[in-house]
Amino acid sequence: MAMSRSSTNILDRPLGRSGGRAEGSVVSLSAFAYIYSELVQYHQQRAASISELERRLESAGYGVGLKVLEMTAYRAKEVSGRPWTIILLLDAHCSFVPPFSLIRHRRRDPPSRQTKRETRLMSILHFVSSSVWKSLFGKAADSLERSIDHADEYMIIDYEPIASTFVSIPPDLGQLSADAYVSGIVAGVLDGAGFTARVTAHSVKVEEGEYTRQGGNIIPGIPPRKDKAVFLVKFSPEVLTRDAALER
Amino acid sequence: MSSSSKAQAGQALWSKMPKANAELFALTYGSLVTELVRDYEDPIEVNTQLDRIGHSIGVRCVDELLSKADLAGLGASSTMCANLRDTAEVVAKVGFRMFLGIQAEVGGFSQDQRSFSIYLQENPLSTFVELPAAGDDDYQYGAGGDDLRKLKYSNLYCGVIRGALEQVNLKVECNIVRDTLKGDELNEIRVELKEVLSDGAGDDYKEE
Amino acid sequence: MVAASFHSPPPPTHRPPPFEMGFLHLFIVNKSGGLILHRPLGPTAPKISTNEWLRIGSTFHSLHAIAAEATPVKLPGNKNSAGADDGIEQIEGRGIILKCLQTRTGIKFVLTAEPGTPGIDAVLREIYVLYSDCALKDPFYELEMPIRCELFTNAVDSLIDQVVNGGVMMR
Repeated sequence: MAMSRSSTNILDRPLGRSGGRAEGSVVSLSAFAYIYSELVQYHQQRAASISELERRLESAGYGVGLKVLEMTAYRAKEVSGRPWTIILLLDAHCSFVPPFSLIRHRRRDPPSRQTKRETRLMSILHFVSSSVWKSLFGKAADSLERSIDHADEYMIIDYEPIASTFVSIPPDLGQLSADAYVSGIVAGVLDGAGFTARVTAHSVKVEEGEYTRQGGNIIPGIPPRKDKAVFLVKFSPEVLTRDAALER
Repeated sequence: MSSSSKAQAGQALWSKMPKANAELFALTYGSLVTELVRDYEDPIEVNTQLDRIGHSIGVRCVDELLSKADLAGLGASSTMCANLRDTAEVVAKVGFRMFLGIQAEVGGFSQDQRSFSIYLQENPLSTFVELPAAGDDDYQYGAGGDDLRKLKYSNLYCGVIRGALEQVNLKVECNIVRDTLKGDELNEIRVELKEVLSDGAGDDYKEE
Repeated sequence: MVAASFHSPPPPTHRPPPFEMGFLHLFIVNKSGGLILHRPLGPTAPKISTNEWLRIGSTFHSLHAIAAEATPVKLPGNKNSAGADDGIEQIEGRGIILKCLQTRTGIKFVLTAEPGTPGIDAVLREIYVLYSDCALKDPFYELEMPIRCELFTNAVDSLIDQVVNGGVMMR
């Protein structure tokens, strides 16, 4: 181990103090928007089609989702599985990260708080649409809905999806959703928690009167959005079977 | 045009900026770096790409800084630069502050006043990141056997500063000379003025 | 400051009450003199063809530069008090006023309006901010190219609408 002048090893620092900044720490939305814009441009140059671009963005979000799960779950006192189980799961997914890990995985002391394992589908969805959303976007998702036609489909709705705030989709890219990255994050969280799902982002027109925002425009000068993001979550069959079995 | 009025301007602009979660920001950047390492493998090449991407951001964010400073009535007084020292302070005290919410310092001016350093105590890009320790063979060498410790994780900043100043006709070179990820106590970016560029249009009409 | 005369827009047959400011057009010229946006802002804006617009853009770009050279009082480095290139700031004609905001990054935002329209400078500054938010952060917008960002044009329309009807800008 190299002799480091920084006070403690990164893994031993409390999660809230990573990098010297407190949990809930912020940067400007512009900073995020510029980085995200470059991420989109990078992938667009390498994608041969609209769907390939979406896959790439989802993939970019997936690894982030795995890490977000660990951070959010730990902080929310609800841990999906015991600490070492999470670590093992994430290690298995380490193929998504380069040889230097963004979070090195080693044993952690067990949290002293009581932990609850999310085993039910509705609980994990609630965890995502509320805790994860609050953690990443500063507010819970606007709604969580279940599809009437398909038992394996659920929808998380966000009227102000952050990733697409400043994006104008050109006409020739038709149905592309700039929030595909976030759907990848959701997929990473769900998969990491043991609820494998295919998550896709869709841009849906907001009806007149459907949504009014408290406190004026989110971005000064920019009129309210005409579309909302619908994150469609389609669980894999074994997840549904398992959940049904737990019902009995 | 004092240093403290620039700091005040930076603070005022920061307070008006809509915010985003810093961890989401850091993880998104991490996703980009991860992709670059996977695609380019050679850390030196990744550094170049980070600089290029930073440049793309720099040429854009400078207009945001100028337009918002102007709209807030801070305009000329806080962003007018009579010399390179003023420019350095705008970059550090207004730029880094309004976009990242961090306190950056300037210093280390050279004798000829053509180069300076920007110091960052905190680095929002590198939250959660740890580079493999030297000698840690399992992690230090990437898939292609390249030494990942040669990666300049925050090289984006160099491109941003270079791009932003280029838009106001200053051609500079930037380098990360100290990096907390490599064990240094703070992050230092060295900026060197190469050339003051002249605009295009007016030259055609200048009298001989 | 250069005074010039232009053809005034045709007299409106119906002006909706109350008598309000008449913004005519917005156009934006990039660093190399290319026109990257032109947009009518109100019902009284005269119709101008695409070719005419391109000519207007490049002509204005050249005139702007010439003005700094031709002016009897030359500023150091041809930079004005805001640090941007000196040049045409305002043109007044019979029935039209044109105002230009030149940024330090070399972009020109130009508004034309009916005389007596207040707050044009403030609107220009606001449009510059909207450009930095809605165009420069769009991953599908390429710098110096024509602006096709729906978010930007919607925001500009909304701004003009607000100014014309409310008289106050929300910032």
